[in-house]
Amino acid sequence: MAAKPRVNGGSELVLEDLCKTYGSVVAVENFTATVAAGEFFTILGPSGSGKTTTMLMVAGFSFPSKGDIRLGGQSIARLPPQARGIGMVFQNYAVFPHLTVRKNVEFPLRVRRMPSREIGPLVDEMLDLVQLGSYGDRMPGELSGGQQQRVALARALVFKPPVLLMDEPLGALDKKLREHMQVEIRRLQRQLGLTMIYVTHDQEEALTMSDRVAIMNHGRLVQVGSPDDLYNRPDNRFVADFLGESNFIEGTVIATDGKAVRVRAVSEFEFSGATSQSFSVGARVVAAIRPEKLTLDRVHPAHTNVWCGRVSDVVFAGAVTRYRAEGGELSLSATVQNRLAIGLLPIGAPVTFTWSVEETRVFGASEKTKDG
Amino acid sequence: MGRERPATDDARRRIHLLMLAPAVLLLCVFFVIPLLGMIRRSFVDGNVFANYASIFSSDVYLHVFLLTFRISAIVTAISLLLGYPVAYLLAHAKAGIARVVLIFVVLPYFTSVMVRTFAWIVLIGREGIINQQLAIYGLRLPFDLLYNEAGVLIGMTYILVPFMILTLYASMRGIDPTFTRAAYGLGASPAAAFLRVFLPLSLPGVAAGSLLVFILALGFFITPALMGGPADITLAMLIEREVEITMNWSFAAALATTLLIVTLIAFAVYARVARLGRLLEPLS
Repeated sequence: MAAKPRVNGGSELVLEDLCKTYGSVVAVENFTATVAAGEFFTILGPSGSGKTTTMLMVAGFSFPSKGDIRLGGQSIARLPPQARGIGMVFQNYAVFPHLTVRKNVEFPLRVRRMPSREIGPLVDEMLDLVQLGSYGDRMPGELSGGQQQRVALARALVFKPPVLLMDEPLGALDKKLREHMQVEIRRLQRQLGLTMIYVTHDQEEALTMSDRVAIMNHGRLVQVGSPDDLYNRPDNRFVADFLGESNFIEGTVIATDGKAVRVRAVSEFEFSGATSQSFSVGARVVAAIRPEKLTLDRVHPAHTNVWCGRVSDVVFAGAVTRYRAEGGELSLSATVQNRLAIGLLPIGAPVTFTWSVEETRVFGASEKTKDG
Repeated sequence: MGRERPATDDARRRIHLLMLAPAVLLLCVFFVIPLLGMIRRSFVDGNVFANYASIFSSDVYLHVFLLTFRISAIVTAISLLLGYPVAYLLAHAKAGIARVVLIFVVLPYFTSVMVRTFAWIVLIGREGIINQQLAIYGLRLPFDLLYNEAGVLIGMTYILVPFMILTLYASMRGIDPTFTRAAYGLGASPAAAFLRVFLPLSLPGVAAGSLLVFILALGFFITPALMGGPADITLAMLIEREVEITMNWSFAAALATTLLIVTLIAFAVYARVARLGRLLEPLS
């Protein structure tokens, strides 16, 4: 009988205006986010963006210079790590090399002085959960990277923490194993209703695993949202550039109409785009369009943006073909599905790209990392 | 002109051997050959093992052996107790501070053992600085610190503690700090994190440092000779006595060979432990 693991459902975690400065260096600035109970929340950013510092503050290895952290309504910002009761999986797993797998998993319970007869079943349950049931007596040195990862996971979960932190947990694994562990971690998180804070620099990992992703750059929170939001409705150039690929067209606003703006770019090319900001006529803006949103259909009913150029590069990649085209000082990339009927366009051939207003995201041109 | 470059493996190996040759030659002539000569001298014509037989049949010599072991063991234990906290602090201190402390640990080595031993005699003798200071307040230590076993222990520990500190420090530096961090993160108090994680991980270093100090202590001569009492005769002193006073070189050779064998056994254990230490290093 599959006993239902008794890990509690997790608690809400509130990060309020978190700041961390080292002397004059600002590592994290005004980080505010609420992670709902049971939510898979990923902090994504390039290295040096402040994501690890943020996580260290949540874990208690670093105290915020300003701001508060509340777990289930109680402030924990000033507590040492051992008093917070948050589970944590380190980048290098930090599985204790002198203890067996079982003793590693027992560790959090032993230091909590739980009676031995209660420890046994809990540890068995956890080892089964991470599919290491028969590995209890092995030493960590005998395990593969993926297995050590599971030990670290079991050890971080066995004391039923209200929140689980994972710091780049899959960075050291090869691609196949990483994909397998992504699915596994997501399954555990759903099954146990864990509140998860997951730190990574891998955008694909962030998009496939998370309920919501917080993107950081230069110590600031740049945008928070569901993977779909972030990819399809980025709030600024950094997000559009960091997640996936984008074509960027700079220009000047010539007309506005609610959420849509009309933009004139170089060589009199005009197009319309959607925005979450408000612009006045004459404002410098930049528009981002995903290459896969461009089509070669000349007459697509919804695609009111039309641009003509000549093919300058063709890359056939099986399922799709990537075209690069140039015209009127602009250079755009389009990724199109391969269909027999269309065939490949040769280099130098005239080509027309069309795309919709909604899939053209317009931001202020000067802004780099401003909050949405 | 040879067309072949001398960088082939064979040529390189020959060059390496050639570079080693002076050192090997020096060791052979001044160390290995005399050592073999000494071992040969320890065997007597007629009853070959007569010297060894009398070493192991006499209470006097066994007593000296046991005393030497006992002093070495106590010195090792005291060095460990004194050295462990220093090494721990060194391994966790900021780089700048660690460097300064390390210099102070190593500094005494720029002075000869003889000078440092005499310095202790001035310090802890019956009319030494410590007793003089105490006398100002009308106090006097109820026991002597010099010319007895206490003197030997103080002197030897003082000289050997840096070996312990440096060995422990090197091994503690190899312990990944995320292990301690992980222990905190999993709910361990600082004491529990130390006892359950850091201390066990530092045990290979403890074993290596202890064996090193023990091996060095086994052969100590100057310090016990100068700071010990008439009853505190270590093996090295006994050998010296046989050479200088009794002039029984053959017997001295037998004693020295016995000490050598004991030391080699301890060293074999040390080598094993030092390798074990490498196995416990953080997994890459």
